Amino acid sequence: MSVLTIRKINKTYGNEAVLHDINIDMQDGEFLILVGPSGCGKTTLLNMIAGLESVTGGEIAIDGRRINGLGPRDRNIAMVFQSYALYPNMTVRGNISFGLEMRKVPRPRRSEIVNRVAKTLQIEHLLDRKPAALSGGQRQRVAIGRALAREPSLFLFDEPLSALDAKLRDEMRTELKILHQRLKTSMVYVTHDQIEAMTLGDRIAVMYGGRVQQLGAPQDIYDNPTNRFVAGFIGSPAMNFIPCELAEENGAFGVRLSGGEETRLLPLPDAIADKLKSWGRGKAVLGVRPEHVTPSTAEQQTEAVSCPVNVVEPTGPNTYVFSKVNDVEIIVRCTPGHAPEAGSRAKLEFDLSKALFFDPETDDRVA
Amino acid sequence: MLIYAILIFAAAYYLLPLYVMLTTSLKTLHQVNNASLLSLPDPITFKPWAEAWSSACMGVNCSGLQHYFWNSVSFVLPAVFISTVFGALNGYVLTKWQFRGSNLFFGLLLVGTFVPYQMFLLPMAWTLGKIGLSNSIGGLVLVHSVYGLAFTTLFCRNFYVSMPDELVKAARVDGAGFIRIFWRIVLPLSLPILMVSIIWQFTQIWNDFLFGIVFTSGTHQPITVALYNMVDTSSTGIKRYNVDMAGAVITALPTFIIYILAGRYFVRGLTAGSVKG
Ligand SMILES: Nc1ncnc2c1ncn2[C@@H]1O[C@H](COP(=O)(O)OP(=O)(O)OP(=O)(O)O)[C@@H](O)[C@H]1O
Ligand SMILES: [Mg+2]
Repeated sequence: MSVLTIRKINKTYGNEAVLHDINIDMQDGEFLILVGPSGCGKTTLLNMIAGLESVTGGEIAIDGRRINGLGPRDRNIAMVFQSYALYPNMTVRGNISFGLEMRKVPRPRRSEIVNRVAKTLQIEHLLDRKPAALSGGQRQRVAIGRALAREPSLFLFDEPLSALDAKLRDEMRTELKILHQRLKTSMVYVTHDQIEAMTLGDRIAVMYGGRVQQLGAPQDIYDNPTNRFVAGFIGSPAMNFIPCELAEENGAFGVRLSGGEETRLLPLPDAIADKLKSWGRGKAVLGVRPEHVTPSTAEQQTEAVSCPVNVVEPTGPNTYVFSKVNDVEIIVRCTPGHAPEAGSRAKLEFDLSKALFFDPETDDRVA
Repeated sequence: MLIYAILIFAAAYYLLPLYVMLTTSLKTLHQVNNASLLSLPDPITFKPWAEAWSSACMGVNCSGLQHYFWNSVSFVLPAVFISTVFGALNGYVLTKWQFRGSNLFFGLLLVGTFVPYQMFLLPMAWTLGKIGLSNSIGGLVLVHSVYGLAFTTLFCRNFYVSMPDELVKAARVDGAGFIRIFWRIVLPLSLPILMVSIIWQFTQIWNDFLFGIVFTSGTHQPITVALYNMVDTSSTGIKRYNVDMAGAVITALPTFIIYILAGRYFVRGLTAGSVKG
């Protein structure tokens, strides 16, 4: 059964439209991520689900019940805010039980729930402190605890980890994932961090310009992005986009690539070639991920392109090489021992079975 | 060093009148008339205070300031309370429950802080007459509450602007409504600004003379007007400076006490929000 259904949602502020025709259907127990760059409307959408923001057009249903006109308190949701929004005048205990108190849960039951939640999140020793006396990570836990205290149909998270430092963020991310696996509750989670999106989500909705660009499983979005925006947004370092000519020589259909010296025609696998042929244009944008370009080891590699090695950046597990193909900068991922030297030239092999092609004008995927 | 010299000079300059008032109020009339203005009282006497409080004459009425003191208390406290509570509510609505035109509304309210006292007098007198509150304590409560509202709203709105909206959103998701959020979350966090509002309003209303003399007469007058009448009356016979000074100190005492009790919140409240806490 779907816990959340969003049908044709629109939102305008005055004359400015910020959300266009959003459609999302979320299964019970699912961890759904809304990801996208700043200003794409993630918070607006989340606030509309929460009832903190009015709906301009369309329909939202939770547990099959239309909730458009209902206030936040009647929607059976809990929310964790980016700034935590803990009540500074109340203790941790007070913060966690406030929502229960507002819903007239009797006092003994309240303290039972507070203790259970505190145990889950390991904040029992903090219950009598005020938020000002907590560290960032502890505040984050309390904010999550406040949401956990009630047992809503749906949890909403608005960039809950973005205020934490990198190390703590990684820890909390894993904890959230464990929490979700244990509680099996439905969660909508907003982030602009694509790593968080990939690691946490059962499904990801990639948003841009007030539209859902693609909705799908993380690996599927990574492997099969529907357009250039999604392809470039998901994955780090980002996918390389190389404008190139498509041509047929001696019966082989392929792309022309040049590292500044000779131009090579690299043949494409049949499946891709067929799609490009039926698309029928001479120029496209080749999308290839950094891990699908590798420096060639063999001397005489006909399928490799000789390219300059401009910068070499070791990161530990991987070394990234910055090069130039068809006059655009590309990033190549190497294993540390096998990286070429900066200033030299290297033969680069392109794994074209993983290549994607985009329309240079519309940025839509064509193959 | 120079800065301290200047500060000490400035302090002395402001403290000197207070010194003269206090010492004179404790002197006998004989000493007032025969010794230097700056001399210490010798002997010390509390008689001028007692007279100012309970037997000095305002015109033909010789029962001292006490009645008028309680008059002032009885309209200042409700007026301070009402204007502060509604100022806080206004600020809360204007920042956390914005409605169409709320900024325009605030702009208009702001104009209220620029309108000079004097412009209120005639329309207010007319209004008070219409609603049957002229020459009454209730009338003064109303006048001061309304006039002060522009200021208290301004204070509170500016304070609440820096209070995160997400607090209110979180409370709404938690199931609290308009009043409950105000009472349980917003108000407890407002102590500094409430203190500012209370001190400001108390000082303004207690020290007010103009509204008092225009809108009341006879036994309904506030202490500031009574003090004026008392000094005025004594000027027809022999000038009793010691009793006048005692009366002045009595009149000033409540605001003085308020500053001592709540002054530290005043500074804190005025600077709150400028530094992220
Ligand atoms: N109250 C408002 N009035 C007018 N425009 C608004 C209002 N709130 C948001 N917007 C606009 O709506 C768009 C989406 O805002 P939103 O806060 O949803 O972005 P976001 O995806 O959450 O971004 P971020 O990652 O920075 O939080 C932005 O262009 C913003 O300027
Ligand atoms: Mg946001």
